[in-house]
Amino acid sequence: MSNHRWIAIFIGLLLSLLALSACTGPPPIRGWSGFAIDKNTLYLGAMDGRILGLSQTGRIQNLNFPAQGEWEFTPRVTVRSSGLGCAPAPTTSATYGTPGLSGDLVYVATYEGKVMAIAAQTGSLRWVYPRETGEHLGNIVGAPVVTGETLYVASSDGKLYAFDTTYGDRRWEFATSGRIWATPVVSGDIVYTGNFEGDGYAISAKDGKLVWSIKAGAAVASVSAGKTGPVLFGLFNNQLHAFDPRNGSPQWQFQGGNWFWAPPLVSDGTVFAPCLDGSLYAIDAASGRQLWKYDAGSQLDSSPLLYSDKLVVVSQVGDIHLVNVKDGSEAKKIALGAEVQAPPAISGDMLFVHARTQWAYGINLKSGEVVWKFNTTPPAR
Amino acid sequence: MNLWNTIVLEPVLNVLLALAGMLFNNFGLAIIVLTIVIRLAMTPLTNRQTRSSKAMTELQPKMQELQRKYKRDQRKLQQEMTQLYKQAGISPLGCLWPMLIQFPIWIGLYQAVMQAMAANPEDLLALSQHLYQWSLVQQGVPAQQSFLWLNLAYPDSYMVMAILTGGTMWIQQKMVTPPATDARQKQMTQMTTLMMPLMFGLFTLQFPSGLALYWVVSNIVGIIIQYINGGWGYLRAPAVQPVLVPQKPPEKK
Repeated sequence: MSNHRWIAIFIGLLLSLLALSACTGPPPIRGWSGFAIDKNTLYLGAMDGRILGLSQTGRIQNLNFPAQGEWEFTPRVTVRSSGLGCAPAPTTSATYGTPGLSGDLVYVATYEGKVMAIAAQTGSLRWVYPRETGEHLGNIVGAPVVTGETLYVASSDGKLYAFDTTYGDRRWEFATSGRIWATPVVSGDIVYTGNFEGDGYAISAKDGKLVWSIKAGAAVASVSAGKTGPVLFGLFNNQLHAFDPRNGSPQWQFQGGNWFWAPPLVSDGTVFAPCLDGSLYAIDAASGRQLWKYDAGSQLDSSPLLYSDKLVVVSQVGDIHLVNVKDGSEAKKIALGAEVQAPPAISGDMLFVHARTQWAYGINLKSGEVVWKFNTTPPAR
Repeated sequence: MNLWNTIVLEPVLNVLLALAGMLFNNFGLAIIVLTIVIRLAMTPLTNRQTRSSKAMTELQPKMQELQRKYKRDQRKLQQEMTQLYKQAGISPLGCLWPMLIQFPIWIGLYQAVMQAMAANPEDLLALSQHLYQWSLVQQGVPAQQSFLWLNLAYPDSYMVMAILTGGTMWIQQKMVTPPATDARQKQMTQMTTLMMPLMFGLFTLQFPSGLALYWVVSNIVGIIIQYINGGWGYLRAPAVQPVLVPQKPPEKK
């Protein structure tokens, strides 16, 4: 074969490889949804984009999925093309926020920018917003929040949306100056949110009118508010800022060793703030003074949960820490052995964890035993 | 990997984010400024590399002559070649080591741009473990994604960056690639001069446009440096005719 022909074959092969690589693109995102719990059923967004309804009974008995009362729902995705003749590919529909639950509906907000209500019993779609295929809001990272008959969702398009829970009609929207990734917090008649431009907002839950706004000083990673006490903004400058919920006047600032990525838990006048520096800080909600600090040894991506007189916190390496509320001493540590970024959930003595390995775990906190585990990836068909 | 992060990735990443903090959180401007600064800092090495490869090119006819002369005696060929390099005062590895020094820095800058962009929540969370406690860095996080018509975390849907990346890379390569004297070598040179820009242009269609911005700026600075050093170089050079090897006339019987 002549040299010219070899060179032509080589160029042809190289071009085919390049065209293929251009079509594949970067790896898909997976999300880190936590669990919503209703009696015997758990709802979560799997890392392949499906929404699952899991029966605790079915999982304890290790029945084939779907067992009775279980379902899966695959959100409809939009196809995209790179414009170079690449075959249409499904867009990723990851879920980062823990589903919301109210009545017989499960509410899910996907990273793709769709908000949907799914029947809790059957897994069938009740409504989706925006309704048209191909239209979506900005990327949604925070969880949807339901209060009464209103669903609140914050988006990367910088807007906070309020929807009617039954029909999915948009009640109002509030535009801010930058991307919102934090889950909004509803306390009384006010919705609190904050964006990447460092702005914090208190918005009327009823009509979406601005009540007050503040300049937090850095991009807002998380928002938290208890029934009483200050509104808290976790910032990307490693600080936690507290503001008066009535008028937004600053109360105190607390310095951590890294970002306050997950919203703190506020209970009985104490703020329990998880930090990406691997520490759980207990802070006096009135003064901002540190009460104690617990070192979890690895970054804390999710909020702590209250379990009797203990706090449960799960570190990224998969260690479950039970910490005494009173003094921050360690009561128990359970090693799961799988990386965790999703927020855990508690029901009675059971803790539910969704690991990066795509396995869901049910752990008895009293005994420290893994009661059941379930691979959320679909079986080969 | 940790050593690489500590020595290369994290310093570049944090300087990039601090620059963004200084430039009104404009991450696009920060990419441009840091690329220019690093490219200028590398100029002595780049120049040295260019000089070495130019000198090697000038020696090509003599080297080919030696190859023909000592075709059957490899040892003698090696000796003569070494002598030739010695006389010309160049080292065959002279154009290689400046490139080797620059390589980790370019990889570090590439990784820093990708990491700082933090296009999705997983990337942003991972970024938290690589940041210094500088207030300027904290002001620059998360990076602003909009710059001109671009969303730096996503590919440019208008394909302008793909054309610019491919185009500027082609010009830069053309400026420094000497015309080949041998027909086979000419084909190979033409292929690589075309393939690299084409490949990077295609990559640009799939990768965040922040990365494309870094490639385009880097190429433009490279073109300017080349222009200052030697004008348009081989971009305007006339096509060189392939060297014809004189054939011995057939011996008369």
